[in-house]
Amino acid sequence: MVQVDNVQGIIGSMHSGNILAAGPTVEEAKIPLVGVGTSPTWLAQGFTYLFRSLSNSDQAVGQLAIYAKDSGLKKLAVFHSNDEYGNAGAKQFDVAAKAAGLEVASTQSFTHGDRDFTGQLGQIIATAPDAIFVWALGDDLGAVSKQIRQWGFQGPILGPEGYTQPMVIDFAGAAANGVVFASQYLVPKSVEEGSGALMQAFLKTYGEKYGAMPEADTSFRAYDATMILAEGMKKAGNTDGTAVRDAIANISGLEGIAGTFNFVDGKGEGIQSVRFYRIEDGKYVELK
Amino acid sequence: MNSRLLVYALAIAAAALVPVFAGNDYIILICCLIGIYIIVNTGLDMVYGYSGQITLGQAGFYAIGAYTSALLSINTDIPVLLCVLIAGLLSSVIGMIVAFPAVKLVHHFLAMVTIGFGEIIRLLALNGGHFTGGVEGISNIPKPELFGFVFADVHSYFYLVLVLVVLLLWGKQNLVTSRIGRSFRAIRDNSGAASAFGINVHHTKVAAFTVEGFFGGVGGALYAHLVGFISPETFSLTQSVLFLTMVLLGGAGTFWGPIIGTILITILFELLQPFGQMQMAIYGLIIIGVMLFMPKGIMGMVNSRWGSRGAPAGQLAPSGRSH
Amino acid sequence: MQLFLQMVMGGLTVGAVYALLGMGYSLIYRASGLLTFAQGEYFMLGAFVGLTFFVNMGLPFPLVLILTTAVMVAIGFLSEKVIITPLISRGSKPIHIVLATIGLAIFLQNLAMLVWGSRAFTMPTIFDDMPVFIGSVFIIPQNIAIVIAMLVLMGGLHLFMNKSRAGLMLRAAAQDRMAASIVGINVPLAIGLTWGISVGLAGLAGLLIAPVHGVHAHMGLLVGLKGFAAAVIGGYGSIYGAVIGGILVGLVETFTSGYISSNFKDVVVFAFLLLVLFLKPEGLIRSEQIDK
Repeated sequence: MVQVDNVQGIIGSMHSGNILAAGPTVEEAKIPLVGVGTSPTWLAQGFTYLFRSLSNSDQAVGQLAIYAKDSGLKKLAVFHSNDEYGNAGAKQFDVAAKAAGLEVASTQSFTHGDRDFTGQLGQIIATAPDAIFVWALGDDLGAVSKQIRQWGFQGPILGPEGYTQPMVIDFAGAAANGVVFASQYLVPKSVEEGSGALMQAFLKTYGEKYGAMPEADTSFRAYDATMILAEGMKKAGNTDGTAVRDAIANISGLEGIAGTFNFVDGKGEGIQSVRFYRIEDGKYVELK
Repeated sequence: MNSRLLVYALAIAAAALVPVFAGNDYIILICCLIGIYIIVNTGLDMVYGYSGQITLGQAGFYAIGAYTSALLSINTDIPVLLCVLIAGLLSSVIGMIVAFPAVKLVHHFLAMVTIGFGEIIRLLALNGGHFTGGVEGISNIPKPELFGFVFADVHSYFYLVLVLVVLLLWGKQNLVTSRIGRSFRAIRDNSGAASAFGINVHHTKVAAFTVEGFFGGVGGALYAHLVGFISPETFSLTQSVLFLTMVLLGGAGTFWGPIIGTILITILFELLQPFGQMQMAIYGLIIIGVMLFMPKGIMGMVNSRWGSRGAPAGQLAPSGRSH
Repeated sequence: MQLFLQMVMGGLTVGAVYALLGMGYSLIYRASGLLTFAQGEYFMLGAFVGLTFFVNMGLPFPLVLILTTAVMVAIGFLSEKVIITPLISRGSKPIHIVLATIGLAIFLQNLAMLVWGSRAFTMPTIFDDMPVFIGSVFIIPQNIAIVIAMLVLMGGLHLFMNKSRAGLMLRAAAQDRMAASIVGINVPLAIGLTWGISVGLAGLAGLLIAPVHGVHAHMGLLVGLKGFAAAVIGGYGSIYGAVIGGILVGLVETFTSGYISSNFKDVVVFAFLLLVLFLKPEGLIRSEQIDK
């Protein structure tokens, strides 16, 4: 793409692994990339042309550990997908849990797309945890939550932003109640449910163009990323890669769907805040 | 004989001119990949086309080569080109070890064993933790170096691949016309008769897999150093199927077949790129079409139409269903 | 002990799915001596067809069951007629047919993505999916229903093949085409029907497991390979062998993830398959001895 289409800026990818792979090429070609994957890894490599349009998953994980401590949960179990995203989340949680003085009694993993967790959940339940920390992508979360509840575990499940995808609650039904997760945005079912004027305006346009509401938060991520790149180009006054890069790195106070972006001294990270939600009776309730 | 040498020389000259006329680096990258696939498919054809055994585990050897060479070149001071050779040899030894019990099986059972082998290698790479980098794979794989010259860009890498392709194809031709090559064809055509003439059928079959392992391993290693990044998803069953499809389209058991098949399928994939999801659906239909209408491949059709020496393998590979 | 029993239950459920696919492989092998690589994709297709009838069209479940089976049997019959028969009549070798079915599998998987999309879909549960506790061990009614459905289908298939006229016809056609056609059996129809039944079994497996696994275009590949492993381990060509093989594969898988590591469960399954093929290639059960 970089060589064939001669692009001047790149949005994406959703998958942190892809960004990590593209990193050296992008850096060499001096083309700014605004990524929308949440894994901290690709901004930890020192690339200077890479930016992120939402908060990274370390922040969410750290906040969840603090939440667990404040809620009086002491013994936790970790269940994560065995991929870049899940491994990074689990590793970070270990660090955050230690800092918060929590005990991680058992850590188990599963392969993305697997649907039978009998062996792993058996091991986890045997340690009688107060809460289970789950870190995986949205399409796995429904099955994971359901099977955790099938084992008779009624305590809180602490999880990632993937819980915002409507299919998780569709799949898990009542089993999703009691899940607490950290996320940048919710995926509303209608324009009115959108949080904030900017998201509502975006949803209205999206609905008019595609005749439906977005199914995942991908479109919000892409919207913010596009806006940041556009703002960078506008400020730079041209599309020269290095100039745009410098312009983006100086953005501050830019309102997006995710919140207020501030790239100054952020090493490519644009936003630090994260929101907390609990699933109650199949609905999302924001925790303050 | 002279005219044949002339054809070879012209082909090499044409290939060498590719980077000069290629519009951009991307096209040269694709040409590098074609060269690498030709190496892999040449090995595959030793097992399938020349000795008549099914194999769907080529991606396994490809993975062993890629991971071995990548890990060696990153973690040791061994020169990269030597790493490539070691990767080929290791893959070859593993091919021999797996083949030893496996080649007693035929047809679908051999297909399943080779698939199982490939999947085990992929899953080990996927779950190898820090050693293999898990799902993230390995990045920053160094470029090969020779007498201080680094094959850093696709232009120079292309010539490196070209030289290796020519060397390995030359090696293959020598092997095919040697005693062991004749044994390959003998067990393919009639293993009972071959055994009566004193050929050790079991050892010959194992030898074919050993050769396959070497070519697959070298190909995988070259891929790793070309792209600089490897992860388990590259080495799936789909990749093995792709290799076998290339050989079958071109014509198994011939010199030009795997080369033509590789070039055509790679170009086809690039042309289908804009069709997105349709790309793979069309690819599936093409496989069915080739099996239906030209099971002997392009070279098979050419040979049977113009009657050339060297019977195409299509007619001679294992025949007859199990009952 | 609780963990052990729980893993047996889990192993049985996944094993039942492999068994259903394995039975299909064995039937096709007996009918035409062939291996198809499309079973996993028929399994996926069954789930999508069921989803379409049940969720998109809102039909009652018994009707969904019947319609899905009918559609899948028809697809199986057609696949045989459109792809396999022409290949055989051209004198293709087994490898060509194997590859053609791989081509078919690739086509079906991508067709499903074009038609239904590449995201995962949710199939509502028909049976209760919340557990019933017996002592400390829990049983999920839905999973039990899957195992029972598999056993019922196995029994039904046995009765059909051994006691009915149609079954006799299929078996005769599979055993000796020439002799069967001399005594007036429509061999092409019989072979086509056998493929239909095999594909129907795979489709039903997909439909039954859909509420547990969800429905997505990539759900077939690994399950298809493991179904084949089930058929081979049990004894290729035997219906009971496929069931025993399926349950064995299911148990090996669950116990590996429980006692060793979930990362290595598929490695262990494939290693188990290779071991059986190397040491006892006829499978753990000889088809001649059990169900001829």
